[in-house]
Amino acid sequence: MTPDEHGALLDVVSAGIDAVSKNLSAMVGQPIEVSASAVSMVPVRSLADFVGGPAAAVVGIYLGVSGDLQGHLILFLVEPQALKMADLLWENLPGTATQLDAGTLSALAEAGNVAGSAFLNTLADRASLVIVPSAPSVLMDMAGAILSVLQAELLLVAEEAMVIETEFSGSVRGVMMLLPDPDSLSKLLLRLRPPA
Amino acid sequence: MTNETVAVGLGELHSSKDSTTVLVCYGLGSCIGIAAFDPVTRVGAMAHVVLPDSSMARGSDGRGKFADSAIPALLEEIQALGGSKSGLVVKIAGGAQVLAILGSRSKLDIGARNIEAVRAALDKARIPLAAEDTGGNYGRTMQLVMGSGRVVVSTIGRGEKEL
Repeated sequence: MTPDEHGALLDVVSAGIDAVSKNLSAMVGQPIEVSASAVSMVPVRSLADFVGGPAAAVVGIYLGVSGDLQGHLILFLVEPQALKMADLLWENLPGTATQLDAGTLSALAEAGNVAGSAFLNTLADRASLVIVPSAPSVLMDMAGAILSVLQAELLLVAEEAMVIETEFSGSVRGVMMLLPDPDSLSKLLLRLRPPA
Repeated sequence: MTNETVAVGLGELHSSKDSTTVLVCYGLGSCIGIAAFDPVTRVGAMAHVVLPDSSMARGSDGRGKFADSAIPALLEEIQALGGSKSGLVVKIAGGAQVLAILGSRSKLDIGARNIEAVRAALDKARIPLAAEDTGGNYGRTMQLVMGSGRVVVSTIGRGEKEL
């Protein structure tokens, strides 16, 4: 990736995160400010290190990505952050949610769906590509276990995936991973050239 | 005596004859952990298999990455440390379908294919499979405790068991 391409990518990620803010706020009916503290391309085999290691208990909200861009998007929340996220979504006092029960997971799935779709729609708009997110799957397990099938698939074709470390309303930390196949990534970068 | 944990990462293969070592595959999903221990010489090894078939290989891949090539590599390492193939106790864990991906390259269940490929590779090498904890839809962490040869599989919310 050239510095120009990297710059264009950071730019679109930043716009995508703004859209996540806007859409999550609309969903909750309260402002939720989302920021990206770090955006990096990381080796596929070490993705789990960004969410506490392969054995860490996490919630992952997965969206399959198809259309002009093929790949996967996952929002990871390590368990304590997932509970904090539920409190944020339900406008509860911090510490109210204590269990990742079905209700909590369904709220997190919806938030992940709204966030992921907002992010992907921004990418689609900016790059004039058709990007179709799947319905969300919410998973609660070891980070490595959730990632392994994606890593297995991606290791055949790609070296790196995009990791966006995010913060929701300054209090909840999450990690968004975009795992595009290499052809899709090239297509995206090509389309993101700065406007003439 | 304190045990030293050695993490066996994606596609890696580690061997040991140190009784204070614990070899661990963390967070196995569709991947398979293969634990091999020779109770006579107390040599052990662990591989973290990601994919079934080395014909898929590209570039520099770890020796444990593919089921078909991981078994011969594991035997080589065991023998290099003075261990023997006869009497080798091999146990496997993993091969789950934690995340079912639709409409992608992974239409086929990689976990199930990995299990099948590991069994086939063991058959081919004429090594019996002593125990397994495979399949399902949840993650596993597998440990081989070199001091005892014990193999322990732990999960989130489904407890821990010895294979």
